[in-house]
Amino acid sequence: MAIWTIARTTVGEAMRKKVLNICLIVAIAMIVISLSFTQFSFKQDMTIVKSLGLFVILLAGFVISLLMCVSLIPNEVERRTIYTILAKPVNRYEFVVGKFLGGLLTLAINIGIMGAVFVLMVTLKAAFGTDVQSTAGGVGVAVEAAARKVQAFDPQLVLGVVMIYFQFVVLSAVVMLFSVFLTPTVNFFASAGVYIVGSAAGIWKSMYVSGSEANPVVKGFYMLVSNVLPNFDRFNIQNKLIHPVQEFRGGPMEYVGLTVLYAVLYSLVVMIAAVIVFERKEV
Amino acid sequence: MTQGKKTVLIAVALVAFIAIGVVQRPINYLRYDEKAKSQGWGMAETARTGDGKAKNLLFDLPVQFFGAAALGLREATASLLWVRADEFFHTGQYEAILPIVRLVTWLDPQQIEVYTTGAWHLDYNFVDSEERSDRRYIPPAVRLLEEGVENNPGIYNLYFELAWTHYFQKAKKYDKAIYWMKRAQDKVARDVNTGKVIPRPAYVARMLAHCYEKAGMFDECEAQWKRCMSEAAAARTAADSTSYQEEIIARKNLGLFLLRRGWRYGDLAAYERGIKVIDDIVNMDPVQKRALEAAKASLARWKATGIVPRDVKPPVDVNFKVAWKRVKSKVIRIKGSADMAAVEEYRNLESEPYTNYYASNVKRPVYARDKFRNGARLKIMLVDYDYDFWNLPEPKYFSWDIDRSQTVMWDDTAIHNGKFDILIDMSKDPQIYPFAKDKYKLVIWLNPQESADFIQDRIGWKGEGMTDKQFVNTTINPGYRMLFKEFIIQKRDII
Amino acid sequence: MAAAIEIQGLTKRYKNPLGGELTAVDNLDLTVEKGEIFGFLGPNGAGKTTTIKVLLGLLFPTTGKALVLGKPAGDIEVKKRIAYLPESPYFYEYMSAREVLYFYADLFKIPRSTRKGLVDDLLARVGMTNAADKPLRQYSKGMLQRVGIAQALLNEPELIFLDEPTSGLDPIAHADICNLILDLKVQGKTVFVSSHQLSDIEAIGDRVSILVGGKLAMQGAVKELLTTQQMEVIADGAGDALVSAIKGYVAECEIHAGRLTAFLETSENLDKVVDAVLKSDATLVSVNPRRRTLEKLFVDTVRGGR
Repeated sequence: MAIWTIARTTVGEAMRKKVLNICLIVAIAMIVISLSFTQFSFKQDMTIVKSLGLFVILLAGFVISLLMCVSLIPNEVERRTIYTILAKPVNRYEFVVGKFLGGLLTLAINIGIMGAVFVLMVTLKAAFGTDVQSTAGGVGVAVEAAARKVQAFDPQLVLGVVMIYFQFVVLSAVVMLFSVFLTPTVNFFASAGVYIVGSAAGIWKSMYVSGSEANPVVKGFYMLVSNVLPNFDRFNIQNKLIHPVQEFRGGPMEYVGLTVLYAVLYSLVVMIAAVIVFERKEV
Repeated sequence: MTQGKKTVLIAVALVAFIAIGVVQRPINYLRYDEKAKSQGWGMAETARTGDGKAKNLLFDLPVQFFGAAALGLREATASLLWVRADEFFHTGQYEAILPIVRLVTWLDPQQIEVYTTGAWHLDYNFVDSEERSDRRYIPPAVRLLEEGVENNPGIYNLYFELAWTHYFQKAKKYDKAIYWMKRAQDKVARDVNTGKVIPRPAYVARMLAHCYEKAGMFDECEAQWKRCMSEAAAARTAADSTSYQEEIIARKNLGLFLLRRGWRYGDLAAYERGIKVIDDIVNMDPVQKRALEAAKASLARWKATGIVPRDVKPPVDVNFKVAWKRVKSKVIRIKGSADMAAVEEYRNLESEPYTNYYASNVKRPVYARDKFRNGARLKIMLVDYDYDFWNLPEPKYFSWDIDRSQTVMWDDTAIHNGKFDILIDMSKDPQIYPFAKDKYKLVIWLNPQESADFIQDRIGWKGEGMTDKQFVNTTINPGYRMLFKEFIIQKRDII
Repeated sequence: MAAAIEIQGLTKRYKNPLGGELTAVDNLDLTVEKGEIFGFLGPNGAGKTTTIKVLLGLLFPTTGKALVLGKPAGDIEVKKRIAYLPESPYFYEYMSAREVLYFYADLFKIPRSTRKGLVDDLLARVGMTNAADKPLRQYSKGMLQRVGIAQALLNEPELIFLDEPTSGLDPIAHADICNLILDLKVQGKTVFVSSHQLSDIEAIGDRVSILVGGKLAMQGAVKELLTTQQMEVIADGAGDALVSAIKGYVAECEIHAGRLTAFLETSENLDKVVDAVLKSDATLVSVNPRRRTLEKLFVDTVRGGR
């Protein structure tokens, strides 16, 4: 299948991009280094390891998905490989979707590697952290500490990494759409802008929900921004992961499941737009 | 692409877009906000300032933290800020901690210990030159803990903190302590690392029993201790000895409480239940055994003679006398006496076999003997005339800003050998005691609820065992007898 | 039987974002018959590549019609039967020649079972068997071009578009590729070559068209275009008398060191000129039909003259 062939080649190429490799290596180094913050109390250690680790994955995922996806199609044009590919019996949508899926796979590999290192580091830290605080008010500390070593692996951390991945699925789709008609540099800033504004969706929403904004035009703008732009905000569940004592309403699988569904639907809409635009794109 | 295919695609996109709207609704954290104020998901929602205005606190952050927080490292920033607050704490810069408490709880509303420590600072650490804490900080402390509860509604921790550290220990408002402790009891605990639900500590239920006892809610107290026992029994496993200990603790407490009901109020049925509860303890130590034997002997004696003891009767006439005078500007001396209670009163108390107080007192050399049983405490308040201790303001939003024109001085003193004499110097702390109003009240009270167990052995949980010709008050705290005196003071009389 | 390529009234205008318009191809009519090697000439910016892209469906005509193998340009069924080699092709650098060919074979949905044999054959055909497993970044331009041709032949195309296939190649690669193109013709395939290497087209092309400023300036069979009726008469020892004698018959004549060179537009007056030479003192050196090089034709056409 042409889509799969193109996707596979895209992964092969993207995984060899030096700038992306450097991002990955730096990110992994930072996750490992964050382990060495031990001057604080145990709980704050964990907060910093988790917070920094998730942030590093988020940042690296952001940079990787942006740097990679802005050039997926323009690179093909620049290198003229797109001409030989589209001169073959390949539908234009197959090309766009193939490139997109290749990008997603690359992102999955990168975030997967970082996520694995992160979960491993946090688990090791939790299992062998020196100063173990007890929740049981001094009773049964030793029993608890022993149990903690066994239970150190927190499966919810994996959910956190999955959520980071899916927000960049959405971002990648947006970048792909933009890359059909914007130059890579303009696309980079436009997409970064969408990400930043979308990450603050909660603020825009509160602006018109709270009613503190009276001007209907401004209010309408906030409403538009918070409803039309992707809401990256809700993918960030680091607070929940840093404080496992907090509950997901309706359970973690419901929250994550709905959010992933949101990501998939949003990407679908954006990619349909990209396919339609690319169909009439002159290359 | 044919026109037909394009139409289909656009139709699919429209359907998906509608589906996005549907999916978006339940995962909208602001919808959760309506239930619990903040879930802390994601980027900066606005915090509320003391006047209730929505405010993004990002720009209040120290500049070196701004970037990290803006980028989304909210929890790490909060942790680092909190480490910084710790430095301020160790160098005594308590004022500097409060803004940090606000920032940290906004950045990361799930840092339980920040609420706990923050409220503790507010409750205890702002002190005058004589180490009295500034009670104007009590409403913000409560509000901070309540905000913590709103942000962390699923776990017991902050409910307990409000109930125990604040209302039971600090404010000594037992009805409120019960309200919060009951809620704490119904919540779970969670492992800080894995988030797994673990049983909440057994002491939560025990403390609720203590609250009931302090409040004089005897049936509830007995039921609560029984609940503690059955909880411990249910949690009991072969590997865990702690639940066994928990059960013993509850059993002893329940037994003692029931015996007290017996000797204080002559409730023989309770007394018998108490003996039964204690009798069931395996591996009693010799002291416990002796006490149990004594209790059984008392019971047998009462049954044989038909004389039912009632240690609170007849009530002690406290013969309370109190006077105050201005020593110099903003320095007052309060002197008085209270016959509370003569050692002789203890001689024939039914509690004597347990406390052994009278016997040990007479063994001492004459000069060292107590004339009165010491340990009753008086609460003294010099406050603005409109200050209402029983109905303190309940701010809607947390702010460390207090009304600096208020003057609120609380102190307490022990009655020693029937006398009390306390010098209160408010002149060195004009910040805390501004005396900005025209009218003040000096309130002095003796509340049996706040008294030690051995005092209560004579006067009862609710003050049934004390009387006074002038100062008994039964209206301020309905159902309780307390000694109460209020002096109205004009500003010119104290300044 | 439909022509391989049929272009009617094709116009392609590019819109400048600032509002201007550039007409790359202007009302072009062009027909390429099956089985011929068609040379597509023109200076840079004449619209050659634009035309090829329209034919491949990469660009969309502003007006006009372009049929490839009887179907609209860009039709997916047509693409199964055509091939395209862009100018200076690049491929995924990390791949080897074999991997590149596998990749394109997959795009053609060539089954895995026959893929290896086909690719091996093609690699041999373009002389790349030895370097087949080296990554492309180590390849020379000629080697890349060979890979490019190999990928264009994967589907046994009926019609092949070659954009500047020989530019920048060393003489051996150059010759090899020319031979390959001739082989294709022998196999009955239609080859559409755009090239600056006019001598190649002259050597291998059947028909040629010259595009200038997006307009078709000239079109015809190579032999016809290059053969003219012009005649050249050369004589030694000629004098002014001879010049004045023949002046009425020739288009152009000059004497240089006693040698006369005279051009006639047609052979109509040839007898008269030859007679005049023979009658004079001069010695007739040669009488030749004059054949133009494609290069001269090209330059003349581009400059608007003939």
